[in-house]
Amino acid sequence: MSEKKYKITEVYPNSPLVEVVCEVRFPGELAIECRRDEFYEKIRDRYPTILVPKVGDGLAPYRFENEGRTAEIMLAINRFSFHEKKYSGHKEFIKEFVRLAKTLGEIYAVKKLNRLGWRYINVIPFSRENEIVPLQRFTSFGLKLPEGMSDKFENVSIVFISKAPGGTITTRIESIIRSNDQQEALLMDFDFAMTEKLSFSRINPCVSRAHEQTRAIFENLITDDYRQYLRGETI
Amino acid sequence: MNVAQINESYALRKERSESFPQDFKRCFFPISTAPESDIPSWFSGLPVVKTPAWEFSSSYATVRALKPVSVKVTRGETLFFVENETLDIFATGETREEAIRAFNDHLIYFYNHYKNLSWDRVKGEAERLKRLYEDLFQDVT
Repeated sequence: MSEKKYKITEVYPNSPLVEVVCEVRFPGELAIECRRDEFYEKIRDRYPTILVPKVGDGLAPYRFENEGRTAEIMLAINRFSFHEKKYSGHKEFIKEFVRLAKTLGEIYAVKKLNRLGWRYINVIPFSRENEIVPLQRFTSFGLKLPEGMSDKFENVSIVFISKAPGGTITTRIESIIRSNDQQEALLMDFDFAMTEKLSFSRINPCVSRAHEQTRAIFENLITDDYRQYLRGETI
Repeated sequence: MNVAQINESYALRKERSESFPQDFKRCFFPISTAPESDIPSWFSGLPVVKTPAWEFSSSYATVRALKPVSVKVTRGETLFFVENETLDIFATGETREEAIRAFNDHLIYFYNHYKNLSWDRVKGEAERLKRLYEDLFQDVT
């Protein structure tokens, strides 16, 4: 087996992560709607800001943000998620997620889980090379195109859902542009959904497994040159 | 590719993705983790962007860096600024594209300049830059 190119504990100084999310979905629990205040009381010291959903379809989540607006909780009757916009590394992230999930489990009768999702949203700013999106600089992902079709992409938008051990992974790779200054970036969004062997009482190992799998996908998808940039080994 | 052409390619992509045969629907409704996550607003809030760059082209030459060059791009009131402190290169342009082109021209100029200077003619900052260009850049043939 080849040597791993990264350490699971490594947090890159030039990380392109703009958001990390872990979410659990469960059968609808109306007590969440009726006794939302009880959950808020337990988390308000760290997440005091309440964002009430504008749409009233009953499934839209309430959001609770910390003061720096760098971390957030979403809570609806059938799902709960924790988000970080300044990723502190997986150990701290999982620790906080599990702490919050346990709080949820103490207040409401959430026992069964339908889905556990771990999502890495990356935004990688780039400048074009010879007018094309330099996809191959950042990712080993490629399309095998027939003769006569160029892989020199002027624009990219790819979404696919693939089977993965224990669930599915949704991958989105897309070039995006900022309107005010024309800065372009590659959006690399990985969403690993675990749907098998889930249990609320064993949430910690489930989350760790989801994290490991999503991280491995990211690491396998990026090039060594780009990993060097992420590590801060730059000119 | 100028700004208008780049914007046009995004508009074309949008148009094609929205165009869909009548009476059909996409078989693609992923249950996404936290679909409310708002990426565009984050992207638009970032004032300074650093991009990694490996290849620098001008009308007469292309130079490759063996390590990624961190290129800082900012927008002023009327100009775009592109810079790298380690290489001590600073370029401007009325458009992003123009500023990047000017940056590339400067980098290639200094690469050739320091490469052609003999070691006994450099010291201090010039010696540092010559070493950097000699060790970490090469011509693309």
